[in-house]
Amino acid sequence: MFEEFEPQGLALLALTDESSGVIERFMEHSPMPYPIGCGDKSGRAYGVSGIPHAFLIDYKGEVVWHGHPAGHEWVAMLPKLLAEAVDAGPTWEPGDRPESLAKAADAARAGKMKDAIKAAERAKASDPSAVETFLSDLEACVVRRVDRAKMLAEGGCYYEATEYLKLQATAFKGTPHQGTFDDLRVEWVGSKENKKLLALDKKRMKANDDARKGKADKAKKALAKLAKEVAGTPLEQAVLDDLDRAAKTR
Amino acid sequence: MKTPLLLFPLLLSALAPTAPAQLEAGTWAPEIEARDWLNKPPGTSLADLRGRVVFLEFWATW
Repeated sequence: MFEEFEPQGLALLALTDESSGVIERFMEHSPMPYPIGCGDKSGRAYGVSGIPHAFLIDYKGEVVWHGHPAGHEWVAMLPKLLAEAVDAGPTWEPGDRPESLAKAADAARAGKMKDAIKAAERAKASDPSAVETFLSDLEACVVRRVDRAKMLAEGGCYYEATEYLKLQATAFKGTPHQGTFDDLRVEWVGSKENKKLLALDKKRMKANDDARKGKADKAKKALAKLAKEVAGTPLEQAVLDDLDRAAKTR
Repeated sequence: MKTPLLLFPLLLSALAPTAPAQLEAGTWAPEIEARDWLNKPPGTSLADLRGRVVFLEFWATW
């Protein structure tokens, strides 16, 4: 199972409170292929009372599922979570492609879209239909990412949206798509009515960073204060959701 | 006055450290704290792995 999902970006970690010496001796007769963190002290923070117990964490750092790993309910959640993680970042996972597109696919996986397009164009003579599919899939990826930015902006999350556009513009630098991301960002940053929302959303992002770093109380206070400031703006719901998440986090 | 014997187990359980409640979905994942790693981890903290989907399994040899 992990062989299937690891190339798609899944990070798998096992944690134990036992020492590395104990685990190394155990592995002499029962080899374990995946990374094991030994002497771990975070089981308490996770509220683990029986083992094995697994947690599935999304690209933002939020727990989206927990339970017995053998249950496999989490496997059904993976494709959507992995696709979401890729689109939130600067890289693109093109999936299985013919050998002629190996270079292009690798460049896309590294977030170098200009190189990806160039390598694909070079393969055109030998495999025109595969190249056409590759390039149109990449276009679809751009459309999805523009939509994602627009969705964030509709929810008032202008800082998150413009940072995201910056990230995408860098990944697509030197391609015709760079302008798509840059133009949208310039439009949003330049608009007077967005200035205030940008500043407020920056505070929301900062609070979420604090919450992720274990400062949930500080984040809670900041978000509660922010909730009053954003009341009646499009950002209100996002702040309330984040406040709820920080309040649940310990 | 004698403490009724029946109360004794109750007292003991009140003194015992309570196990923290199970962490629920919809919260930020607490940072992990492993001392050392075997088998080359893709990252040794959740901060390192931000942007990736992480499957974290608590496990023991016993």
